[in-house]
Amino acid sequence: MGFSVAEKALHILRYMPRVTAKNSLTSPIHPRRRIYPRGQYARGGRLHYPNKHYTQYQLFPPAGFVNDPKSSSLWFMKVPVTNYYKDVLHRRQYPHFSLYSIQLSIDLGNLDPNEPIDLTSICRCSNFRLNPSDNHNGVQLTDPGLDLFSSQINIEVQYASEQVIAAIERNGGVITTAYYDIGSVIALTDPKKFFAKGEPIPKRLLPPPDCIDYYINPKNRGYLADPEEIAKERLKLAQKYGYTLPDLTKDPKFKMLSLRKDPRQVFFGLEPGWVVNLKDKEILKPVDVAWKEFYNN
Amino acid sequence: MLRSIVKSLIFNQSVLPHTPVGPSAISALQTRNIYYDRNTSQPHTHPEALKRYFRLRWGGWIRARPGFKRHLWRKPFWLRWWASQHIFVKKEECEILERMIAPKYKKSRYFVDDIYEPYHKRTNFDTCPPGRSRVSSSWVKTAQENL
Repeated sequence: MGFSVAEKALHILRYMPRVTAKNSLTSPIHPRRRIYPRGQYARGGRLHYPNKHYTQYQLFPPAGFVNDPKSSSLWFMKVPVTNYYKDVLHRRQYPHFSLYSIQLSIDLGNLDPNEPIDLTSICRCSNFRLNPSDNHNGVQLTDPGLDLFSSQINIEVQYASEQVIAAIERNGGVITTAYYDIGSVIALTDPKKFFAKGEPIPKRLLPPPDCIDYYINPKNRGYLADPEEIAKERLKLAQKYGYTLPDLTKDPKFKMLSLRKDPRQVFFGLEPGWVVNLKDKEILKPVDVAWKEFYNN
Repeated sequence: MLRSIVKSLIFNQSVLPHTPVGPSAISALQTRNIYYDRNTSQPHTHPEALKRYFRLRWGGWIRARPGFKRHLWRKPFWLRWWASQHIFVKKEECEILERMIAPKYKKSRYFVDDIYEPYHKRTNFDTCPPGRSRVSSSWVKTAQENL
């Protein structure tokens, strides 16, 4: 409003692109000349000399090579295409850990049955290796050592079959299946290394749509299931496999057995957003309201 | 030298009777031609072999039968069933396939509800019998996992 033509032109000029070496045209005085190739690249290069056969290089033929020009197709091409390795590199992996090895590590003293067992304590066992860079997202309990398993534990794993759940509950134990995203798995596998980074404890994410049905289901003892329905399913499973379910409320270990993690919690006794300083042995908590809202929701 | 001593020690630990295979000229030649990328220095994988074959954890390979989805209208039900099954690859072809596919795809992988899980374990023995191929060391890994 009320700007003169000169002022408007100056305003436009202020936002116009500057003249640089990139956007300037070629000089009419010194036009760019065509560069002719020299040496072996001149006049079509080595086009007139045909490529060497593999026998002329002193190499062995590649694996699967058939030196028969008459053969219509190679031996491995006759097999129909079934994409076995289609999404193998991208799927979430859950390495095995058997009930036998849990009983073994309890007997050797590597696992403490008087404390709740989670991914961190399983990673401490020498016969279990978890590498998050290989897309390992947790541990799945398998059935070897089903009958000899005899210890009362409170365990949290990522996947367990029905017979494994029955074997643990037969001895008066408690099992929950819980999901951890890859960021919290990295924190859980080596907590000392994670705390040394000086980063706050991450917020645990909810399970993706392909496995959310598993963790809502009380039959799988999912961590998002209703606890009243889990109590019903415990009784049903005891009737199915034919064992008497021990009463946990009268148990001396009841306080330990009833310990569970919050769906947003990664470590026991620590909340997301806290920073653990191992050197000075102190815990730093967020003060800002925005950070508190981010971590608590 | 040390590696060969360790290998021979593990060989002797196997429960099953085993006839040791000496270093022959043919096996030495076969193990040699594993090619690597010039720029990335990664071992080559043959893309066509990767589409058609699957490696089990103990070193065996499986494939589908040729023509398992062709002329289904004129095949009786038992032939349709017979054509649909997956079968093991021959030993000679296994040795070539070991060199055609990079070790990235030969790693042991553990998924939930995997349909190939029962076939990944060959026997009910604690240790797997060693294979003839010197390229593959999968049986050593399986022996360590089952301990």
